[in-house]
Amino acid sequence: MSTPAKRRLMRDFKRMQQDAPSGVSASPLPDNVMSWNAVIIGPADTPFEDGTFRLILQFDEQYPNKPPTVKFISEMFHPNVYASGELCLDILQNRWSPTYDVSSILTSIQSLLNDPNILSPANVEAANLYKDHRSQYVKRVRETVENSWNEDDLDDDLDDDDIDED
Amino acid sequence: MSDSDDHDEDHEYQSFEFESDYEDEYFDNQSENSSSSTRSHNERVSPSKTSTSFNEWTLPKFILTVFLDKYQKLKDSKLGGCTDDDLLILLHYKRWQADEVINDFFDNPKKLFEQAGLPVPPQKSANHLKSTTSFDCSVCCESYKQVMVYELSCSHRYCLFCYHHYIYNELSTGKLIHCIQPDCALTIPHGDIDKIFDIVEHDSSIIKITKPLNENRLLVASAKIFVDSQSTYKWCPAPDCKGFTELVSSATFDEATLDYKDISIIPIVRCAESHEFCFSCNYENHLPCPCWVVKKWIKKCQDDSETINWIDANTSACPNCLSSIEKNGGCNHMTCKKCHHEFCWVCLGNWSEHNNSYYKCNKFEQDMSEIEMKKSKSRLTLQRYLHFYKRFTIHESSMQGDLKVLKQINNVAVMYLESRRKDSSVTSLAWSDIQFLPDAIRALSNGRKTLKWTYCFAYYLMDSNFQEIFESNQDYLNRTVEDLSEIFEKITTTSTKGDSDIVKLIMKNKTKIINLSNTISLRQKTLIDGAYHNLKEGLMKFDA
Repeated sequence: MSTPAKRRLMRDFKRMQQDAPSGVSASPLPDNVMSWNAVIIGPADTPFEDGTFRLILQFDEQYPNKPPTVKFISEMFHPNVYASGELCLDILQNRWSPTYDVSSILTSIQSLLNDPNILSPANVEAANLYKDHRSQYVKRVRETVENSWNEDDLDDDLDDDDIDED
Repeated sequence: MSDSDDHDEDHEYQSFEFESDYEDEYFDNQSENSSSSTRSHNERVSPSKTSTSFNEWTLPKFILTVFLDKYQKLKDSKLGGCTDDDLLILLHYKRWQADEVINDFFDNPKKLFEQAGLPVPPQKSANHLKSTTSFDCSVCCESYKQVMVYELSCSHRYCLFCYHHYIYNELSTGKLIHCIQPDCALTIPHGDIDKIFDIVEHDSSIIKITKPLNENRLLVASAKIFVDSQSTYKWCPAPDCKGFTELVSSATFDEATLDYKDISIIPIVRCAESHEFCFSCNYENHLPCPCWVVKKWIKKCQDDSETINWIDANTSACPNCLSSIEKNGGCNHMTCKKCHHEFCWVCLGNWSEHNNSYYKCNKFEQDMSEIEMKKSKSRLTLQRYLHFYKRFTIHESSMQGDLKVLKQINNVAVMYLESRRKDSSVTSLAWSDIQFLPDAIRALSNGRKTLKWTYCFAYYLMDSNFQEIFESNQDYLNRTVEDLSEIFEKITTTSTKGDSDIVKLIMKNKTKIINLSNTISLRQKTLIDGAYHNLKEGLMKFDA
């Protein structure tokens, strides 16, 4: 059944396929258009360069009047990302506008990577290192970047586990 | 008992004399006096001397007085080139400080207009709400053949449905609402918000009735936020009540010093719908109990095992056949549905033995406790607690019953008036002829509320002679409340039988109902005034 939220998400998908912003990609799950997998490539000339960070976007029927819940599933070391992968970004909370779509959400997150907001830290350690020990911070970020490359293998393992359980 | 300088014994004497005076009036006064019945529920039941003053508000009245008054003044001062919509937005932006609007307007109008999200003069607002053909809305991605769209001077155009959703979400902030486009700062005028809602929610492009400005959705939302954020304003805690109250002045009392003796400083206030509540603890009118006693009592009631208390307090086994009975309204004269045994709900004794000493079962007998002395002391404390708790909850649940009656009574009133109208002997008939019924129920409910809290009061009270005076005042009030409650129970059970019966019953009991409700209000006042004086003089003390 087609609902306003689903129709809008299908348009978002078309737009992502036709002219995706550089460094981001996203697509709905094959069986559920309300859940999306997304990948953000760390922008060049930043500590996050070449990282492949994976996210889940969960929409509800209120979309686009309410923002989706967005969560990193890759390990992140960033002042505005919680340990759970949830992130603290104004346009996903009180500054949401119904004109935003998947592509603008992802580009916003992409630019947040190298431009963290230290005033409202979700990860205090990351915020402190960013402020006072930048080299330490870069080192920790690089570790997550390297880990992000190995995730495909890790993910396959997870899938195998799921099958075993079934 | 009016003067606090009275000698102790005068207190006692006067208190009883007053009661007996009234007793005569209650039984002898046979003349109808409907005007006095309206008085009872309008009076605030609190000690005669009270230092609390307050304003009762409703949202429309508040918006009119606090917001729109400034708007009217600003309109009169004629700021050049401003439309009414602009003025309202400027005022809202400046948090209804008309002086600031005027100052900024003459200081730097360009900046003011920009900040408030208005097109800078000489550019005028060009907002359009119109029907258009073949339109693709970029928010919902619908392709409409024909649709209503809205746009501000910025020409960012979206379909009305999307605007409706968007505004609906934004209203909760109470702030001015801007164009959907996130980097566009233009403000949607208040009137347009209501227009958009009216069109979408009524599914018609013709607006028949324009809502008055004091019911404007954004102004209402804004006023709500204002009330929430101010400590001198509080919403009425009564269920479904939309009124709120502003505390203008009250005696300051320090909650930390539990020992205060003056219950007249408890800030009992009333909302626009005549619900009384305590501004300090945001609970219903809990006089004669001080707030700290209320807090303690509620905590105690919550701490003790809920289920046992509930079963013990809300159900009783029929003394004859032992089936569990829950009382859901009416008076304390119970008849078991199963075995038709008649008993008193309070003491579970035979009803036939109750005739004269009817409300003796109200008092906690110290003699009884002497037998209990053999048993462990903790058991006694529990029993004492349960004694008061049970009576407290009996009145609480009876109040719920009264609420149900209040709902039914309007039908009864209509039935009564209809039937009287058909009667040709009756020449003049007015709605006020039946008004004594709802008035009486309110008096009954208020009486019960006070009565309810007297049990909490009595639980924490130290033993003294004045406690006995208090208890006999409690008895008097209890008796009148029960009498009135019994009449209402008769009326509601008869109301299903038909018009003629109910009219006869109401005609027969009219005087009695009016007198009883007056008596309730008076006795309630006596009880609270008595508690006030005795506490103040240190004649009664709490066992903290």
